[in-house]
Amino acid sequence: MVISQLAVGEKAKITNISRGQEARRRLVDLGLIPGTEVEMIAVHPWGGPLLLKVGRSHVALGRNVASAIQIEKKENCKNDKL
Amino acid sequence: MMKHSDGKEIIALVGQPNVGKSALMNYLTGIKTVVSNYPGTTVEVLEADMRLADRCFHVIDTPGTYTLHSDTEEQRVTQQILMETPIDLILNITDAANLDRHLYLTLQLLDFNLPIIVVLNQIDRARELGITIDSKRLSEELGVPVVPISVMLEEGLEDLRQAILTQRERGKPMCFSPRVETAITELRSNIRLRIPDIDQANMHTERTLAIHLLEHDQLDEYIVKRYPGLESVVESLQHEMAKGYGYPDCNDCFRECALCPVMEQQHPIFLTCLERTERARTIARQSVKAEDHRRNTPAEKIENIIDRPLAGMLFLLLALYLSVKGVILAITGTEELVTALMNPIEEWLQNNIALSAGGFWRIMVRAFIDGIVLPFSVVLPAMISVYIITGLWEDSGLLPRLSMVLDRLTRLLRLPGQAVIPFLLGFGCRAPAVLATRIMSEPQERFLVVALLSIVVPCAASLGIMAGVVAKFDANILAIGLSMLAVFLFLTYFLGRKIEDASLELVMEVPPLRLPNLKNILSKTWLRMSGFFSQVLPLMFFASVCIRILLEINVLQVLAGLNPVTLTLFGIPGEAFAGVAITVVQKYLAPMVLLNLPLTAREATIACAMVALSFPCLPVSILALRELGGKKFLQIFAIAAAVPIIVGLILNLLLPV
Repeated sequence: MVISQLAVGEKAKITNISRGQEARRRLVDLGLIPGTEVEMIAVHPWGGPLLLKVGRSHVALGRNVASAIQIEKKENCKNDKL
Repeated sequence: MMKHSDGKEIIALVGQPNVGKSALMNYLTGIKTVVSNYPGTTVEVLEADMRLADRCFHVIDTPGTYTLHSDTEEQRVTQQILMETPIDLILNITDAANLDRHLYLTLQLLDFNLPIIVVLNQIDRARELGITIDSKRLSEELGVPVVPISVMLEEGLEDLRQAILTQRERGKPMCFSPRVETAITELRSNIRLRIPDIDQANMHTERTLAIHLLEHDQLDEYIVKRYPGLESVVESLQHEMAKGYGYPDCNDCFRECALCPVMEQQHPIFLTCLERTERARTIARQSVKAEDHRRNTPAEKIENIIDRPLAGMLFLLLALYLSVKGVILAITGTEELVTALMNPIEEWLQNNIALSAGGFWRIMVRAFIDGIVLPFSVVLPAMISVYIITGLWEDSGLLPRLSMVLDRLTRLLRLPGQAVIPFLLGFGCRAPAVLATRIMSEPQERFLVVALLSIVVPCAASLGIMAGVVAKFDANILAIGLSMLAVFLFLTYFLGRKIEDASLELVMEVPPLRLPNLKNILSKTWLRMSGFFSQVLPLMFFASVCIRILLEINVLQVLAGLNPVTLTLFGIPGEAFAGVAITVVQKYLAPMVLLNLPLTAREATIACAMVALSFPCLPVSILALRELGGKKFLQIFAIAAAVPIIVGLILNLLLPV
């Protein structure tokens, strides 16, 4: 599963990033590395960017980059939210 | 390279973007800050002197950077400053509410083995968010002093001053896992063999250099080139590390991993990066406590609404509209005021000097009016209002949200979302729009937007007078509009090809919403205005003297004698063609020339389209020159010369006689 498949409100853990070195380093800058937990905040329509919560900060990602980030969904995320 | 600082102790402020570095800089040093561009970059570096307890300090505010991997201009500049300046103390500004992510940079800074203070800024916001930080514990873990402050509430600043005066203990570099440490040690001995003069060479310390080489960033390219033997050592060490990490398929092509089929599937983040991130998270976990159940702060509640796609778009478009309206209001408002003030002087000069004196004085008087009155009535208010409003967008956290919301739309034109702001401003006056392109980071994108602004986008003044021309001669407004659209699309396509796809992909932090600090915005505006009197004003005066001389020696009349040529090529009389050249001075002067000529509807259509798509006016040219540099400006000017000629030729062929 990749990040762009996550629905709003769902949480997941990054498992791998399959992207060239440059994009990967920009992701490292923002704390997006394997092991990081993320939550989907908003999905902009018409293939627009995604807004993610990473730790306590927000990160906007283009769809292409987002589909290169593999994740593992956290199943009990709905309960976490409350 | 940096300005020195005889005998003063040098302090470097280092931190991520949006962490409140410049606000702290302002607080420490007051308003006497100097902006300097680091050679060859567009990144601003701020410097100022500070007195504390009778000691003199020189403070350098480095550009905001997330890490020290030298992938972006900001990172390279920051790294260069840290390496090349004899720094006595690093102030590492971190965000108390996001400590784990900020500690990555802290750990990298510790590698430099310099005295360092970790400043936990925005401690008030952390409190609001229910976060408590055990700064004693944090200080023990990092081995350096930690000072919590809030610049906004002026909290903890006395402690910080004390720490600045006393802290001179060097930070201890972080320890990696044994495997990585072995690689580092091996590389260090190799470095010592190949670069014996490392300490004098003003480069990284050995350890930092070794770590950097293992992480292989662009800056190290030149080191690798200079010391050829190093590369194979680094490669084999990286290979060892990757193998040990559970990637046995790695086939020794670690450097080309972007192209490697094996690595495309399973590429490790460089081991050092990964371990550093983990260490940062462990330290943060040990010293930060966060409440689980708490109410959202008011700012968070607004954020929750604005960060929804539809609501956000409506809100941001409204804010955008108000901003553009505000700038236009400021310009039209002050233009009247300044003209009213300058008019008597202008008239007196006209009557007493221009009439009685010879050519030289006539030139100087006209040049004074164009070169001094114009900057004060148009450029100055435009600059001030644009700086204040862009400052508000930057400091409130709305700007990244705008580019996120508009990303889809502008991507069609291969432009980032931020490009909308200069375009909208351009319809008011293009001079402030050129300045507003500063919010775009990629030089190629800036060039494209400035080119479009200079050539295609009509300002309010020229639009109004062109409407007058269309009405008077019954010109074909559809033909004019379509040619403008065609040129816009063609230029975006043609110039946008060079913009790389990767740079178009959005990977951007969206900072929390904040109430902007007015003092901070005003001092930022003041700083950026400093160029007006030293650069814009003299340049504009000089340029208008030159143009007046051209007018005085009847260059335009010569053009008017070109009737046969212009009529066959473009289907317009020579005087109308001269009007196109006049746009160099002021875009709205050109349609005024047309108004005074006896033109047919067809002639007016072609002339109007050519005028609309020609040179940038004087203020725009000067600002573009200042913002982009001579080479890029010349390119724009060349395109601006070619476009009206091509448009005129094509329209002359297409339009029925």
